[in-house]
Order: sequence, then structure tokens, then C-alpha cells
Amino acid sequence: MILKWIMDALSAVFDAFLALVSAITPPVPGFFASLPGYVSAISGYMAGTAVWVPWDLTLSVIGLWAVSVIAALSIRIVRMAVSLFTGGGGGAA
Amino acid sequence: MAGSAGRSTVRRSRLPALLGVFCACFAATALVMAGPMVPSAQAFQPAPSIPPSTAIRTVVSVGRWAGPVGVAIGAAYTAWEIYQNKDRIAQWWDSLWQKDAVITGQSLYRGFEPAPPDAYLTGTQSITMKCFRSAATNCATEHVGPNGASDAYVDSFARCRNPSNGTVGAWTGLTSANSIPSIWGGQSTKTLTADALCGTGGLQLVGYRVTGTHAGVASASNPFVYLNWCPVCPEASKKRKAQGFADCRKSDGTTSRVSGPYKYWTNPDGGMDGTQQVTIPNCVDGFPGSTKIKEGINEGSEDGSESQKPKWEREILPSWLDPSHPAYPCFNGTICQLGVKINGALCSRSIAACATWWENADDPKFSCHWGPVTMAITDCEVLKHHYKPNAVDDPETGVGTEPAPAPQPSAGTGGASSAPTSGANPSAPPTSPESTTDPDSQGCYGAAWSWNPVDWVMVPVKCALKWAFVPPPGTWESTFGTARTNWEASPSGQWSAAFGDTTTALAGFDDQAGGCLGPTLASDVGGISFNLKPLDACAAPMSTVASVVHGLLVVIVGFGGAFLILDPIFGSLGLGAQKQSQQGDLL
Repeated sequence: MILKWIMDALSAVFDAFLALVSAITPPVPGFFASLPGYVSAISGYMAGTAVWVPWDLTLSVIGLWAVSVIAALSIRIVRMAVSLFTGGGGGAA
Repeated sequence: MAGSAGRSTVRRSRLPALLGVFCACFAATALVMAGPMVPSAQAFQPAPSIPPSTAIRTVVSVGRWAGPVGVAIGAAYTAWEIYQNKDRIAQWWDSLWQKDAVITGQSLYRGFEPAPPDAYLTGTQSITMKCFRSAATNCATEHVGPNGASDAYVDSFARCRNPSNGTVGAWTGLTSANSIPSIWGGQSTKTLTADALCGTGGLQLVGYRVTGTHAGVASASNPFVYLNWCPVCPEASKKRKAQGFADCRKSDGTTSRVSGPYKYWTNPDGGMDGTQQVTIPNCVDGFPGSTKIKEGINEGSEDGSESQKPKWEREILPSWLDPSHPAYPCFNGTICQLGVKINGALCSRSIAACATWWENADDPKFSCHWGPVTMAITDCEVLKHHYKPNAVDDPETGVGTEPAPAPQPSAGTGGASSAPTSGANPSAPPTSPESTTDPDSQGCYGAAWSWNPVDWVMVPVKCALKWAFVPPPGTWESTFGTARTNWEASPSGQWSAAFGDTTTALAGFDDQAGGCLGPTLASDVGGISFNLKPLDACAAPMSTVASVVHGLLVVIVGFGGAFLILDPIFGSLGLGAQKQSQQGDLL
């Protein structure tokens, strides 16, 4: 029963967090919700072009590039935050 | 010939375009990322300048130059392909402007268009035929069959009118001197007079047409090219229209006529020439729930001077709409019910043999009926329990369902009843079945008193711990299921799902199922259908080209991708191309 209470409590916390996040999260735009369909359609049209275009490499580059952009943004934020405590020593322009 | 020409044109022209677009996108990205940038305002002190490594210099250099080089290569290749295929492109362009022809069977291009006057011609009045071929010398041969002039047959006909009585004569084959195949020669236009085509007797020229046939493929009565223009005949210039229709009927007897779109054409014969495609509508869309009982085509003049008259029609009478059909009453107001008959008499629950009719359905004495219509015996399966004496009727359908089995208790071993009827009452309550001293038991009640601590400590503690930490069955599934449902319904979950779906869709680009054929382009240019595979790289030389392009793109994407991936990281550390460029010490 205790575990159930804990689970219920965590569930309530999760729901509250979700409600809080949902309140500030914009709904998915229609075009983005439809994006997978469009991408699938385009990829369908491009079927059989792997002999021409290195899609595996291209997709890997796109994925890693997105990750690197996010990482770079995170690093800049951390450096800016650190600079507040070090008098500018960790500033990131 | 035309089909293969167009296929070759598209195949050769799409590749450089694709390459050029890719390279242009890459170049734009590379220049934006690697080019000199206006330094942004620095909110804080810059990080100490660290000289870039040789590797970074190399990556940035390649990233900066790979894009423009790729664009230049793609543009040069595109220009070269266009030059190589200029004639085919011109032919395709011409085909877009050719008119007044009906093509059947084999696909051919159309190359002529009359310059129509408004009335019939007499005497030296003339019509001008124009050849739309890109090269005038082709006009003598390019209006023939797909395999050239040697296996095609093209003939010209004129139609003339007697001005004294208004009689219009039949289409008459022309001598070679006045027929299109003979007179085109190297000219791109040709003027034909009425006297030349109808004779000098004063007949009026009301039409001129060219018909082509293909030996072994079509006959004169089934031309594969039917160039039919009539610029001068009044009756021919009157546009006509036709419309398909369908009469639809529902089971309640209501009918409605559904009409299709109008089809317009100009035909000097005043009727359809067999190549016009008039769509007959269907009842499913036009009058849902109905069945087509008649279809046809109405034809008349476009301006309404001649009313629409049936050109062709036929009855499509479903068997059950025939009054002689046994089911006719069931579709015309009579409520017909499904039932089982035994020896021709309708079954009921009072007839014992009907209770098990389904088990004996093979017995010919049973038959299935829907009103007056005899059905297959299996069509009555829904009634297999209906005639059992204790069947329970469904309140909605009225069909009897299988009754619940009646209780059939067996006699106890103690005789008529197993309950004792004599003796003393018990003096103590029975022992709880959960009371146990076995620590492995599922029971929770230990012995009330015992010297063994397992009996009165471990067992109850175990039960307490189970109560405390073992959730009821289904708790995990319920809790996580609810959380998952809430997550999926939230905007965050929808964003996540959209990202996931997009990622999955992107992975489809790397699907190898397409093999080497590439995408298929289905198109219709000037009435000629194409089914092209412009990137078909299954055979040389395209396979070689594809291999080279693939290798080139691997280099470009590899180096450019490395630059794209590393630059944001180095930039965030104060080592990126932007920062170094603005300091003027890189590149």
C-alpha cells in the first residue's frame, strides 16, 4: 500500500508537472504535425536514389549537426551562467 | 519514338538539376557558416584567443570551397546536358502547342494546326496548314508512324459541299498532289485552295483531315492518329457536347438521374467519332445507397440550338428489380422476413424438429427463405437458436438467442441432501483458512501463541510488508498507462511524437528497397503518357555516372558535414570560424 501511495504521489507530481509544462508549451503546429507525412511522401518519391546520394551519411550528418547545435547552445548558456559568478571570466558571446 | 525520346530527355535533364540544387543548398549553408560574419555584440569578455589547429583550418577551408565548386560542376553539367538534348527539348516544347488532334492506340505527337477561316471556302480561297516542327525539313516525315515513314500510312481527305442543294459529300481521299504527306516537303506551312481540293466545279471546301495508320498495328478504320480539323465547314465549327448519365434507384423505389461532366468536341459528322471519352457517372457517389438501372449518353449542340438527345443508352435492370423476380416485393414496400421452413411450412418453437434444424441443416426438409425468396440454408445461420423452445428473443433484432443452460445439480453422496439433518451443533467456530504457521504460506494470520517466532513474528511481518510494498495487481499497468496517456495527450507528448515520426520518416530516405531504378515519374504531355525512371542507374552508363556522383557526394557531404558539426562546438568555445575570422587570423 505504501508503494501504491508513492506511485500515486509520483503520478500526481508528474501530472502537475505535465500540466505546468503544457500550459507554457504551444500546441504542435499543423504543418509540423503533418511533416512526417510530407517527409514520408518525399522519401517515397526518392526511393531507389541511394545509388546516387549517400542518404545514410547525409542523415547521419544532419543528426549529428542538430546534436552539435544543441550542445553548442548548452555550452554557451553554461558559459554565460558561469560568467555571472566569475565577473565575466566565463563569458560566451 | 516520341515516348523514348521524352524518356531520354527527362532522364538526362533531371540528374544535373538534382545535383545543382543539392550543391546550391550546401554552398549556401557552407558560406553562411564559414564566410566572414559581422561580429555580434559581445555581452561579456571574450575567451582567450586560442590559435586554431591545422585540422580546423583544413576543415573550414574545405567547407568554404566545396559548395561553390559543387555548384559550378552541377551548373556546367546541366548546361552540357541541355545542349546535348536541345533537339528533344525543342520537340517536347512543340508538342505542348499542337492542337486539334485525337490520338488513339499508339502514342504519337501532333504536328499540325490549321489556321481556320470562319466559313467554307470556294475557288481560290485557301486554308493554311502549319507545321509545328522545330525543323521544317522534318515535316515530311514526322507526322508518320512511330517507326518512321517506312511503316506508316498517312492519307488526306477533303469534304466538299454542293452550293446549289447544300449537300455535303463524303470524306474523299485526295490525290498525292494535294495530300499532306506529299505536299509538305520541306515547308513549315502550306496553303490549300478550295479548287485544288474540291475541283474547279464550284464546290465548297468544308473540311480537310489527315488520318494516319500504322501497318500491323491499326487499320484505316482504327487509325492511331486522327488529325481531324475542319476550319471551314459551318456545321463542323459548331461545337457539340455530350454527357453521360445514370438512372439510380434505391430499394424504397425512389429514383434519381446522376449526370456526368460535359464533353465538348468539334466534329463535322455531327456525331461522336468513337475516340471521345464520355464518363458515365456511378450511383455510389451520385445517389448513395442506390443501384444503377440505366445508363447512357445524351448529345447535342453546345449552344443549345440542338437539344440533348439520347445518343446511346441501355437498361441495367438488376434481377431483383424485375417485377417477375421473387424478391421484387421485398424492394418495393413489402417487409420480408428471414425464416426457416420444414417441409415447406414455416418453423416455430412449437415444432420440436425445428429446435435442432441447424444441426440437421443438411436435411433437405429444411430450407431458408427471405419473404418469398428461397435463400441458401447457410443464410439462415443467424436463426440457428431461434426455434429452440427456451430461446430468448433479442429485444432489438427479435431473433432468438441461445438460452442459458439450466442448472443440473447431481445428487450428493449423502443421499437426497448432503447437509446433515441431525446431530449436535458445532461448539467452536471453524479455523480461519488463512491462519497458518507456515512462513511460505499465503496466509497472514500466524498462530495466536507459539514458542516458534516464525509463527507469530515472521508470518505477520511478511504480510505487513506485502501489504505495504506490493501494490495490488494491475497498479503498475494502471499508473504507467495513465501517465503515458496523459503524456501522449499533452502538447509535450505531441511534440515528441511529431519529432519521433519525423525522424522515422527521415530514415525512409535510406530505404534500399527501391534498388537502382530510382523514382518513377508518371506524366501526360500533350496526351502522350510517360512513365519515366529518370534516375535509373541499373545499367551503364547511368550506373557509372551514379557511382561517380555518389562518391563525389560522399566527399562533399563528409567534409562539409564535418565542418557543419564541428563549427558550432568550436564556436561555442570561442574557437569557431566566425570568431577567428573576425580576428583576421584565419584563412
